[in-house]
Amino acid sequence: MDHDSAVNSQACEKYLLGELSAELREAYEEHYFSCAECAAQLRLASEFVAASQQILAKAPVPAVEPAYVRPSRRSFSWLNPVFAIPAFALLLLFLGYQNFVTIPQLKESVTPHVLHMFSLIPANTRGDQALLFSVTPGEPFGLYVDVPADSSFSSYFLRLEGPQGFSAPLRSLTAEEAQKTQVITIHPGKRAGKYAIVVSGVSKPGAGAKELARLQFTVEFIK
Amino acid sequence: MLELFSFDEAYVGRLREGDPSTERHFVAYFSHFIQVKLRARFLAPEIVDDLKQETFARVIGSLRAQGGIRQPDRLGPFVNSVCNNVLLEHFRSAARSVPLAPDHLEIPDKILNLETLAISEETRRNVREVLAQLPERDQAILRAMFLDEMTKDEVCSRFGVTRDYLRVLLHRAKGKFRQAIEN
Repeated sequence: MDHDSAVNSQACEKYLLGELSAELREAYEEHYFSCAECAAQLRLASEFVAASQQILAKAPVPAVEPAYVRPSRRSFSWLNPVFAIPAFALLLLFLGYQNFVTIPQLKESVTPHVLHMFSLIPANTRGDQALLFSVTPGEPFGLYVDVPADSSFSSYFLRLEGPQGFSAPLRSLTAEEAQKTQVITIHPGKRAGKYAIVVSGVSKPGAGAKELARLQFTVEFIK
Repeated sequence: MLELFSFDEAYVGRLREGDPSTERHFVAYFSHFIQVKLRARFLAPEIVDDLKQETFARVIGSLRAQGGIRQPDRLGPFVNSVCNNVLLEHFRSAARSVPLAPDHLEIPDKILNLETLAISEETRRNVREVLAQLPERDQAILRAMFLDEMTKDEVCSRFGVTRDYLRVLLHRAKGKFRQAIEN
Protein backbone atom coordinates (compact mmCIF):
# COMPACT_ATOMS: atom_id res chain seq x y z
CA MET A 1 0.00 0.00 0.00
CA ASP A 2 1.50 3.35 -0.94
CA HIS A 3 0.83 6.70 0.67
CA ASP A 4 -1.73 7.93 -1.85
CA SER A 5 -3.68 4.67 -1.61
CA ALA A 6 -3.67 4.87 2.16
CA VAL A 7 -4.99 8.44 2.14
CA ASN A 8 -7.52 8.07 -0.68
CA SER A 9 -8.98 4.86 0.70
CA GLN A 10 -9.34 6.34 4.22
CA ALA A 11 -7.25 3.44 5.43
CA CYS A 12 -6.66 5.13 8.80
CA GLU A 13 -10.37 5.36 9.63
CA LYS A 14 -11.14 1.92 8.23
CA TYR A 15 -8.27 0.43 10.22
CA LEU A 16 -9.55 1.82 13.49
CA LEU A 17 -13.11 0.87 12.63
CA GLY A 18 -11.92 -2.69 12.01
CA GLU A 19 -13.05 -2.59 8.39
CA LEU A 20 -9.88 -3.66 6.60
CA SER A 21 -9.45 -7.22 5.43
CA ALA A 22 -6.53 -9.09 7.01
CA GLU A 23 -4.48 -8.51 3.87
CA LEU A 24 -5.18 -4.76 3.70
CA ARG A 25 -4.67 -4.44 7.43
CA GLU A 26 -1.19 -5.90 7.16
CA ALA A 27 -0.43 -3.75 4.13
CA TYR A 28 -1.54 -0.61 5.96
CA GLU A 29 0.52 -1.57 9.03
CA GLU A 30 3.58 -2.09 6.90
CA HIS A 31 2.96 1.34 5.42
CA TYR A 32 2.41 3.34 8.60
CA PHE A 33 5.47 1.81 10.23
CA SER A 34 7.45 3.37 7.39
CA CYS A 35 5.52 6.54 6.51
CA ALA A 36 5.99 9.35 9.02
CA GLU A 37 2.90 11.25 7.82
CA CYS A 38 0.56 8.25 7.99
CA ALA A 39 2.04 7.31 11.35
CA ALA A 40 1.23 10.80 12.64
CA GLN A 41 -2.33 10.63 11.26
CA LEU A 42 -2.89 7.22 12.83
CA ARG A 43 -1.51 8.43 16.13
CA LEU A 44 -3.89 11.40 16.04
CA ALA A 45 -6.92 9.26 15.22
CA SER A 46 -6.08 6.47 17.65
CA GLU A 47 -5.48 8.91 20.49
CA PHE A 48 -8.87 10.46 19.73
CA VAL A 49 -10.52 7.03 19.84
CA ALA A 50 -8.70 6.02 23.02
CA ALA A 51 -9.45 9.28 24.84
CA SER A 52 -13.08 9.20 23.68
CA GLN A 53 -13.48 5.68 25.00
CA GLN A 54 -12.07 6.75 28.35
CA ILE A 55 -14.18 9.93 28.51
CA LEU A 56 -17.45 8.44 27.31
CA ALA A 57 -17.09 5.54 29.74
CA LYS A 58 -17.54 8.03 32.55
CA ALA A 59 -20.02 10.43 30.93
CA PRO A 60 -23.83 10.32 31.18
CA VAL A 61 -25.57 8.87 28.14
CA PRO A 62 -26.84 11.51 25.73
CA ALA A 63 -30.53 11.33 24.84
CA VAL A 64 -30.93 10.62 21.17
CA GLU A 65 -33.98 9.15 19.56
CA PRO A 66 -32.79 5.91 17.94
CA ALA A 67 -33.53 5.85 14.25
CA TYR A 68 -36.18 3.19 14.60
CA VAL A 69 -38.17 5.13 17.18
CA ARG A 70 -40.66 7.27 15.40
CA PRO A 71 -41.95 10.29 17.34
CA SER A 72 -45.64 10.16 18.16
CA ARG A 73 -46.24 13.34 16.20
CA ARG A 74 -45.93 11.21 13.05
CA SER A 75 -48.76 8.93 14.20
CA PHE A 76 -52.07 9.96 12.74
CA SER A 77 -54.15 7.04 13.99
CA TRP A 78 -55.94 9.29 16.50
CA LEU A 79 -57.30 11.39 13.63
CA ASN A 80 -59.71 8.61 12.77
CA PRO A 81 -63.12 10.32 12.97
CA VAL A 82 -64.60 7.52 15.11
CA PHE A 83 -61.81 8.05 17.58
CA ALA A 84 -61.89 11.83 17.53
CA ILE A 85 -63.45 12.74 20.89
CA PRO A 86 -61.16 10.92 23.31
CA ALA A 87 -58.20 11.55 21.03
CA PHE A 88 -58.78 15.32 20.93
CA ALA A 89 -59.27 15.42 24.69
CA LEU A 90 -55.96 13.71 25.19
CA LEU A 91 -54.37 15.99 22.62
CA LEU A 92 -55.53 19.06 24.52
CA LEU A 93 -54.10 17.67 27.75
CA PHE A 94 -50.85 16.84 25.99
CA LEU A 95 -50.58 20.30 24.41
CA GLY A 96 -51.25 21.86 27.78
CA TYR A 97 -48.50 19.84 29.37
CA GLN A 98 -46.09 20.74 26.56
CA ASN A 99 -46.89 24.47 26.76
CA PHE A 100 -46.98 24.85 30.50
CA VAL A 101 -44.37 22.34 31.61
CA THR A 102 -42.06 20.91 28.95
CA ILE A 103 -41.32 24.01 26.86
CA PRO A 104 -40.63 26.32 29.83
CA GLN A 105 -38.27 23.69 31.21
CA LEU A 106 -36.51 23.43 27.87
CA LYS A 107 -36.16 27.20 27.66
CA GLU A 108 -34.44 27.21 31.03
CA SER A 109 -31.75 25.08 29.57
CA VAL A 110 -29.45 27.60 27.85
CA THR A 111 -26.62 25.25 27.06
CA PRO A 112 -26.76 21.82 25.49
CA HIS A 113 -26.48 19.04 28.02
CA VAL A 114 -26.49 15.28 27.91
CA LEU A 115 -29.51 13.41 29.20
CA HIS A 116 -29.00 10.68 31.74
CA MET A 117 -30.65 7.52 30.43
CA PHE A 118 -32.17 4.66 32.39
CA SER A 119 -33.88 1.49 31.29
CA LEU A 120 -37.38 0.70 32.43
CA ILE A 121 -37.36 -2.50 30.45
CA PRO A 122 -36.84 -4.78 33.48
CA ALA A 123 -39.59 -2.95 35.45
CA ASN A 124 -42.00 -5.19 37.31
CA THR A 125 -45.61 -4.35 36.54
CA ARG A 126 -46.96 -6.01 39.63
CA GLY A 127 -46.28 -5.65 43.30
CA ASP A 128 -43.94 -3.29 45.04
CA GLN A 129 -40.81 -3.91 43.11
CA ALA A 130 -39.81 -0.71 41.35
CA LEU A 131 -36.60 0.56 39.86
CA LEU A 132 -34.83 3.41 41.62
CA PHE A 133 -33.32 6.24 39.59
CA SER A 134 -31.08 8.83 41.19
CA VAL A 135 -31.19 12.11 39.28
CA THR A 136 -30.21 15.74 39.68
CA PRO A 137 -33.10 17.90 40.95
CA GLY A 138 -34.75 19.85 38.15
CA GLU A 139 -32.92 17.89 35.45
CA PRO A 140 -34.80 15.75 32.93
CA PHE A 141 -33.80 12.17 32.32
CA GLY A 142 -34.62 9.58 29.70
CA LEU A 143 -36.18 6.15 29.93
CA TYR A 144 -36.04 3.21 27.57
CA VAL A 145 -39.47 1.62 27.69
CA ASP A 146 -40.83 -1.55 26.13
CA VAL A 147 -44.59 -1.58 25.62
CA PRO A 148 -46.21 -4.97 26.37
CA ALA A 149 -47.66 -5.18 22.88
CA ASP A 150 -50.48 -7.59 22.21
CA SER A 151 -51.91 -8.48 18.80
CA SER A 152 -55.44 -7.80 20.06
CA PHE A 153 -54.73 -4.06 20.35
CA SER A 154 -54.48 -1.66 17.44
CA SER A 155 -53.07 1.30 19.37
CA TYR A 156 -51.61 2.16 22.75
CA PHE A 157 -51.50 5.17 25.09
CA LEU A 158 -48.78 5.96 27.56
CA ARG A 159 -49.50 8.16 30.58
CA LEU A 160 -47.17 9.26 33.34
CA GLU A 161 -48.41 9.17 36.92
CA GLY A 162 -46.36 10.70 39.69
CA PRO A 163 -46.38 11.95 43.27
CA GLN A 164 -49.17 14.13 44.64
CA GLY A 165 -51.62 12.88 42.05
CA PHE A 166 -49.60 14.14 39.12
CA SER A 167 -50.77 12.70 35.80
CA ALA A 168 -49.84 13.61 32.24
CA PRO A 169 -50.19 11.93 28.86
CA LEU A 170 -46.96 10.91 27.18
CA ARG A 171 -47.69 9.59 23.74
CA SER A 172 -49.84 7.35 21.58
CA LEU A 173 -48.47 4.51 19.51
CA THR A 174 -49.66 2.42 16.65
CA ALA A 175 -49.38 -1.35 16.96
CA GLU A 176 -46.29 -1.27 14.74
CA GLU A 177 -44.60 1.46 16.77
CA ALA A 178 -45.34 -0.41 19.98
CA GLN A 179 -43.10 -3.25 18.78
CA LYS A 180 -40.08 -1.01 19.23
CA THR A 181 -38.38 0.28 22.35
CA GLN A 182 -39.56 3.80 23.20
CA VAL A 183 -37.37 6.63 24.46
CA ILE A 184 -39.31 8.85 26.89
CA THR A 185 -38.02 12.03 28.50
CA ILE A 186 -39.18 12.60 32.07
CA HIS A 187 -39.18 16.03 33.71
CA PRO A 188 -39.51 15.32 37.44
CA GLY A 189 -39.03 18.97 38.35
CA LYS A 190 -38.99 18.98 42.15
CA ARG A 191 -41.14 15.87 42.50
CA ALA A 192 -39.17 12.97 43.87
CA GLY A 193 -41.11 9.83 44.67
CA LYS A 194 -42.96 7.00 43.05
CA TYR A 195 -43.87 7.18 39.38
CA ALA A 196 -45.48 4.85 36.92
CA ILE A 197 -45.81 4.80 33.18
CA VAL A 198 -49.30 3.44 32.58
CA VAL A 199 -49.69 1.59 29.32
CA SER A 200 -53.20 1.22 27.94
CA GLY A 201 -54.29 -0.58 24.81
CA VAL A 202 -57.22 0.11 22.50
CA SER A 203 -58.51 -2.86 20.54
CA LYS A 204 -60.36 -0.83 17.91
CA PRO A 205 -61.28 2.79 17.25
CA GLY A 206 -64.04 3.92 19.57
CA ALA A 207 -63.43 1.16 22.10
CA GLY A 208 -62.37 1.99 25.63
CA ALA A 209 -58.74 1.79 26.65
CA LYS A 210 -57.66 -1.16 28.75
CA GLU A 211 -54.81 -0.77 31.21
CA LEU A 212 -52.12 -3.27 30.27
CA ALA A 213 -49.20 -2.43 32.50
CA ARG A 214 -47.92 -0.06 35.15
CA LEU A 215 -44.17 0.32 34.75
CA GLN A 216 -43.17 1.59 38.15
CA PHE A 217 -40.05 3.46 39.13
CA THR A 218 -38.94 5.72 41.94
CA VAL A 219 -37.10 8.99 41.47
CA GLU A 220 -34.73 10.19 44.13
CA PHE A 221 -32.70 13.35 43.92
CA ILE A 222 -28.94 13.37 44.22
CA LYS A 223 -27.87 15.74 46.96
CA MET B 1 2.24 16.22 19.36
CA LEU B 2 1.72 15.68 15.65
CA GLU B 3 5.20 14.27 15.29
CA LEU B 4 6.62 13.45 11.88
CA PHE B 5 9.67 11.46 12.78
CA SER B 6 12.22 9.82 10.51
CA PHE B 7 14.98 7.55 11.75
CA ASP B 8 18.57 8.00 10.63
CA GLU B 9 21.90 6.31 11.19
CA ALA B 10 22.77 8.53 14.12
CA TYR B 11 19.52 7.60 15.87
CA VAL B 12 20.03 3.88 15.30
CA GLY B 13 23.63 4.24 16.47
CA ARG B 14 22.55 5.87 19.74
CA LEU B 15 19.91 3.20 20.22
CA ARG B 16 22.46 0.47 19.63
CA GLU B 17 24.74 2.02 22.24
CA GLY B 18 21.96 2.17 24.77
CA ASP B 19 21.60 5.95 24.97
CA PRO B 20 18.84 6.38 27.60
CA SER B 21 16.98 9.32 26.00
CA THR B 22 17.02 7.65 22.58
CA GLU B 23 15.76 4.42 24.11
CA ARG B 24 12.98 6.32 25.90
CA HIS B 25 11.97 8.01 22.65
CA PHE B 26 12.10 4.72 20.75
CA VAL B 27 9.90 2.91 23.26
CA ALA B 28 7.46 5.83 23.57
CA TYR B 29 7.18 6.25 19.79
CA PHE B 30 6.66 2.61 18.87
CA SER B 31 4.70 1.55 21.97
CA HIS B 32 1.67 3.36 20.66
CA PHE B 33 1.77 1.77 17.21
CA ILE B 34 2.57 -1.72 18.48
CA GLN B 35 -0.33 -1.51 20.92
CA VAL B 36 -2.72 -0.32 18.20
CA LYS B 37 -1.48 -3.10 15.89
CA LEU B 38 -1.96 -5.76 18.55
CA ARG B 39 -5.35 -4.37 19.62
CA ALA B 40 -6.36 -4.61 15.95
CA ARG B 41 -6.18 -8.37 16.50
CA PHE B 42 -8.53 -7.99 19.48
CA LEU B 43 -5.98 -9.44 21.86
CA ALA B 44 -6.46 -8.99 25.61
CA PRO B 45 -4.53 -6.10 27.22
CA GLU B 46 -2.22 -8.37 29.20
CA ILE B 47 -1.28 -10.30 26.06
CA VAL B 48 -0.73 -7.00 24.24
CA ASP B 49 1.73 -5.95 26.95
CA ASP B 50 3.60 -9.25 26.82
CA LEU B 51 3.91 -9.23 23.04
CA LYS B 52 4.93 -5.57 23.03
CA GLN B 53 7.73 -6.25 25.51
CA GLU B 54 8.87 -9.25 23.50
CA THR B 55 8.92 -7.16 20.32
CA PHE B 56 11.07 -4.45 21.92
CA ALA B 57 13.45 -7.00 23.42
CA ARG B 58 13.99 -8.66 20.05
CA VAL B 59 14.43 -5.37 18.17
CA ILE B 60 17.01 -4.07 20.64
CA GLY B 61 18.72 -7.46 20.65
CA SER B 62 18.92 -7.44 16.86
CA LEU B 63 20.28 -3.88 16.81
CA ARG B 64 23.07 -4.81 19.17
CA ALA B 65 23.89 -8.04 17.40
CA GLN B 66 26.74 -8.03 14.98
CA GLY B 67 25.51 -6.51 11.72
CA GLY B 68 22.44 -4.96 13.29
CA ILE B 69 20.02 -3.12 10.99
CA ARG B 70 21.58 -2.25 7.64
CA GLN B 71 19.14 0.48 6.66
CA PRO B 72 18.39 2.87 9.55
CA ASP B 73 15.49 4.48 7.71
CA ARG B 74 13.85 1.05 7.67
CA LEU B 75 13.74 0.85 11.47
CA GLY B 76 9.95 1.22 11.45
CA PRO B 77 9.29 -1.66 9.04
CA PHE B 78 11.81 -3.76 10.99
CA VAL B 79 9.86 -3.21 14.21
CA ASN B 80 6.66 -4.14 12.36
CA SER B 81 8.28 -7.28 10.97
CA VAL B 82 9.53 -8.39 14.40
CA CYS B 83 6.06 -7.75 15.84
CA ASN B 84 4.54 -9.90 13.07
CA ASN B 85 6.88 -12.78 14.00
CA VAL B 86 6.03 -12.42 17.67
CA LEU B 87 2.33 -12.48 16.78
CA LEU B 88 2.71 -15.56 14.62
CA GLU B 89 4.51 -17.43 17.38
CA HIS B 90 1.82 -16.38 19.85
CA PHE B 91 -1.00 -17.73 17.65
CA ARG B 92 0.88 -20.98 16.98
CA SER B 93 1.51 -21.43 20.69
CA ALA B 94 -2.12 -20.68 21.50
CA ALA B 95 -3.30 -23.16 18.84
CA ARG B 96 -1.25 -25.92 20.46
CA SER B 97 -2.77 -25.39 23.88
CA VAL B 98 -6.33 -24.43 22.96
CA PRO B 99 -8.20 -25.81 19.95
CA LEU B 100 -9.05 -22.96 17.65
CA ALA B 101 -12.58 -22.53 16.37
CA PRO B 102 -13.02 -22.43 12.60
CA ASP B 103 -13.69 -18.70 12.74
CA HIS B 104 -10.74 -17.84 14.97
CA LEU B 105 -9.14 -15.64 12.33
CA GLU B 106 -12.29 -13.61 11.81
CA ILE B 107 -12.10 -10.17 13.30
CA PRO B 108 -15.29 -8.92 15.03
CA ASP B 109 -17.05 -6.11 13.17
CA LYS B 110 -16.30 -3.60 15.92
CA ILE B 111 -14.13 -0.58 16.44
CA LEU B 112 -10.76 -1.21 18.08
CA ASN B 113 -10.81 -1.05 21.88
CA LEU B 114 -8.00 1.36 22.70
CA GLU B 115 -9.25 2.35 26.14
CA THR B 116 -6.09 1.08 27.83
CA LEU B 117 -3.75 3.31 25.81
CA ALA B 118 -1.90 5.85 27.93
CA ILE B 119 -3.44 9.23 27.15
CA SER B 120 -2.21 12.53 28.54
CA GLU B 121 -4.56 14.81 30.43
CA GLU B 122 -4.03 17.49 27.78
CA THR B 123 -5.16 15.08 25.07
CA ARG B 124 -8.20 14.13 27.12
CA ARG B 125 -9.02 17.81 27.56
CA ASN B 126 -8.80 18.46 23.81
CA VAL B 127 -10.88 15.41 22.99
CA ARG B 128 -13.49 16.40 25.58
CA GLU B 129 -13.73 19.75 23.81
CA VAL B 130 -14.13 18.07 20.43
CA LEU B 131 -16.81 15.69 21.72
CA ALA B 132 -18.76 18.56 23.25
CA GLN B 133 -18.86 20.31 19.87
CA LEU B 134 -20.37 17.31 18.14
CA PRO B 135 -24.15 17.08 17.70
CA GLU B 136 -25.76 14.90 20.38
CA ARG B 137 -26.63 12.31 17.76
CA ASP B 138 -23.00 11.97 16.72
CA GLN B 139 -21.99 11.72 20.36
CA ALA B 140 -24.51 8.92 20.77
CA ILE B 141 -23.17 7.18 17.66
CA LEU B 142 -19.62 7.36 18.99
CA ARG B 143 -20.82 6.10 22.37
CA ALA B 144 -22.59 3.16 20.70
CA MET B 145 -19.46 2.32 18.71
CA PHE B 146 -16.92 2.89 21.44
CA LEU B 147 -18.66 1.63 24.53
CA ASP B 148 -21.76 -0.40 23.83
CA GLU B 149 -19.78 -2.96 21.83
CA MET B 150 -22.35 -2.89 19.09
CA THR B 151 -21.29 -4.07 15.67
CA LYS B 152 -21.18 -1.37 13.06
CA ASP B 153 -24.20 -2.89 11.33
CA GLU B 154 -26.12 -2.59 14.59
CA VAL B 155 -25.00 1.03 14.98
CA CYS B 156 -26.01 1.86 11.39
CA SER B 157 -29.39 0.20 11.88
CA ARG B 158 -30.03 1.85 15.23
CA PHE B 159 -29.16 5.36 14.11
CA GLY B 160 -30.20 5.14 10.46
CA VAL B 161 -26.74 5.90 9.10
CA THR B 162 -24.43 4.22 6.62
CA ARG B 163 -20.96 2.83 7.13
CA ASP B 164 -19.63 5.75 5.12
CA TYR B 165 -21.17 8.08 7.70
CA LEU B 166 -19.24 6.35 10.48
CA ARG B 167 -15.97 6.77 8.59
CA VAL B 168 -16.70 10.42 7.80
CA LEU B 169 -17.67 11.04 11.42
CA LEU B 170 -14.37 9.65 12.64
CA HIS B 171 -12.48 11.55 9.95
CA ARG B 172 -14.16 14.86 10.87
CA ALA B 173 -13.63 14.28 14.57
CA LYS B 174 -9.96 13.59 13.89
CA GLY B 175 -9.76 16.88 11.99
CA LYS B 176 -11.38 18.81 14.85
CA PHE B 177 -9.00 17.12 17.29
CA ARG B 178 -6.04 18.22 15.17
CA GLN B 179 -7.36 21.80 15.14
CA ALA B 180 -7.81 21.71 18.90
CA ILE B 181 -4.18 20.64 19.35
CA GLU B 182 -2.86 23.26 16.94
CA ASN B 183 -4.86 25.98 18.66
